[in-house]
Amino acid sequence: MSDLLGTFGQGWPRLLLYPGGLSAVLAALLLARVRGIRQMEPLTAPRLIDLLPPLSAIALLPLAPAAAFAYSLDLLTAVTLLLWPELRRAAAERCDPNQLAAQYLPTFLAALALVSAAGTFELSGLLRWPPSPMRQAAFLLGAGAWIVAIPRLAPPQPHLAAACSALGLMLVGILPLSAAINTITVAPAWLSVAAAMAIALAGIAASCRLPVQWGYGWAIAALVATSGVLLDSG
Amino acid sequence: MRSLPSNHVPYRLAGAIAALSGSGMLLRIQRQPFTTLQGFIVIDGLSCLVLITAGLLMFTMPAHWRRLGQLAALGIAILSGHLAGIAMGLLVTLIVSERWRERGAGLALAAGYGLIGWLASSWHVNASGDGLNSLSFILLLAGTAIAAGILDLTTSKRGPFEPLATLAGIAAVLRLFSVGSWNLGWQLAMLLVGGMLAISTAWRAATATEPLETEEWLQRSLSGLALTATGCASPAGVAAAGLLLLQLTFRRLAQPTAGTAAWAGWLLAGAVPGTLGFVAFWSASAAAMAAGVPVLAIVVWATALLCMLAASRHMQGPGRWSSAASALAGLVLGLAAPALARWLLRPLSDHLQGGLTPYGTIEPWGWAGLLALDSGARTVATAPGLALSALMGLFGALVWLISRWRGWV
Repeated sequence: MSDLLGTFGQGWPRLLLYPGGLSAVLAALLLARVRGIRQMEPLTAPRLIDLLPPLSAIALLPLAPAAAFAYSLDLLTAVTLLLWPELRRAAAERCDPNQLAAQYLPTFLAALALVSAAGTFELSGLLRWPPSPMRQAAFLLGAGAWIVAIPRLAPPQPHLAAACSALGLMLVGILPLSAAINTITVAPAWLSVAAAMAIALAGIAASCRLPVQWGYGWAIAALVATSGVLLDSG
Repeated sequence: MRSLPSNHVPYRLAGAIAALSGSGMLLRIQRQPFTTLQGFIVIDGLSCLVLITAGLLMFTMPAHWRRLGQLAALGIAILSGHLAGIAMGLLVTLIVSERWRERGAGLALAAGYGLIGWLASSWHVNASGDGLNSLSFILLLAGTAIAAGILDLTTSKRGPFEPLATLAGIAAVLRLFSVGSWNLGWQLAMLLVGGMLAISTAWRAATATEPLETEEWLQRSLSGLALTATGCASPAGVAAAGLLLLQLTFRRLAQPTAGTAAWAGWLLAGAVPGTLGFVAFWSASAAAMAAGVPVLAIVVWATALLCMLAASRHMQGPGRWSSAASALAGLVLGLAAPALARWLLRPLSDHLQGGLTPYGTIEPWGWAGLLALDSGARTVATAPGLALSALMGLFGALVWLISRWRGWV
């Protein structure tokens, strides 16, 4: 238990300043504005509870140049935390499961490409550029499919929890992108994260204007690359 | 508080005795299985898990003489070190079920173990590995899948979910690891059948309109996930199957369809990291990843999300104490997952080690949560349940303070 308290004590900048806390809230508001949300709903107690899981997930993402944190997340836990506001909305509004499946399918295919290429569910595994060309292709196509799928996975909602959810999903997508940038340039880590963020923002903005089929196109390309990875490793 | 009808007392008492004796025996077999009567009685981690879950499940079913018979027969099957005892126990457990499907499943399970004993040089479980054969495996797989409700997918008329029959089926395939190791074809068949059962029933649960129907499909999906995890044939898969059986038991104890408070419903849905449900879903997916099957890991996670969605769509009615108590117990067990892994899951996988592959283990991560390791001892998944709960508590307190200060709430 003392380990846990010690980790929180040493990791307070990560939790309160970057990537969680203040910077996460500001970036989420900025992203919401980019996605066309001008006015946020006032915070209420249920909204505050909805805010905690995505905020916690963002705080634990392995983003440079934040200090290392002993208790890292994997993709499963991070995505479950980030999708908490959407799950609550889907349950409350009794969303059609067929429609949800159509929205989520590209994301599952993207996740499959990413974890197949990385060989692990750990988020830090998404920061390691894979060695073989087939895995590199699956990695990049998976990241692209992930980012393109975000607008349909977390549609714009006028509250902070949904904004943090969308931000967190985007930040998961930039992990492989920053790994790619780090490999081809010698830029400092923070610069590669910023560049990856700019690419992801452009990708999200573009995918909002493109037909839904584009998302499926990316996902199918990622799936083809994944099958190459699986055959390669088999 | 309503008093228990007097005719229910023997059933509840039998359940309590089974659960308590399972827990008590667990203390005795932490290091190695307990064997007595020249190997006719073997008590290991699997015996204790099955006794605990079967005992608790007795509290969730209407009182009937069949249940006592099923519990006694399942107890004999799971404590027997002799293949004839296992076959007879499984046969009686399922033959006293209400439906013909479960009775057929019982015949298949008994025939499977009987055939192994017939072909082996010994009828003792630990010395019968040379009797393992594909026909026996097919019989056992078919029996388990039928007991878990695979035939209900093919008909429009849905039958009731029989938890003791399902538990007997899953215990039968887990016990097969005591006999010997599986070949890759058997593993693949188990993964396919379990995965198909899990995702089909999860979809039925998510699209069902009646709460009771949703709940029954959900429980079948948990059983399917337990079979899928078993198909990984690794210590991680066995541990995941154990956790899924516990989650199934707690959902039945909670009976959320009879009414549950929203907070308890969410805790029981498995959508909150740190709860037993989440740990069970996570461990099944992590076991598949550790076994080097990322496609299966993602399918399992999609199934888990469908189960979470299905469970969260039917939270209704007034909160009941049994639902709240089960939800809180699930939260405590989820947060105490490292202790659960050391105390319950490690004996379970250690005692079946002879038939398992080294492709994946689930280990405690200090006090913070659980880790899944692959065959090279590399971390493939992490679930820091306690650390995450502490972090969310910290954020919650901070956000609440700021909100009160700014007058937002």
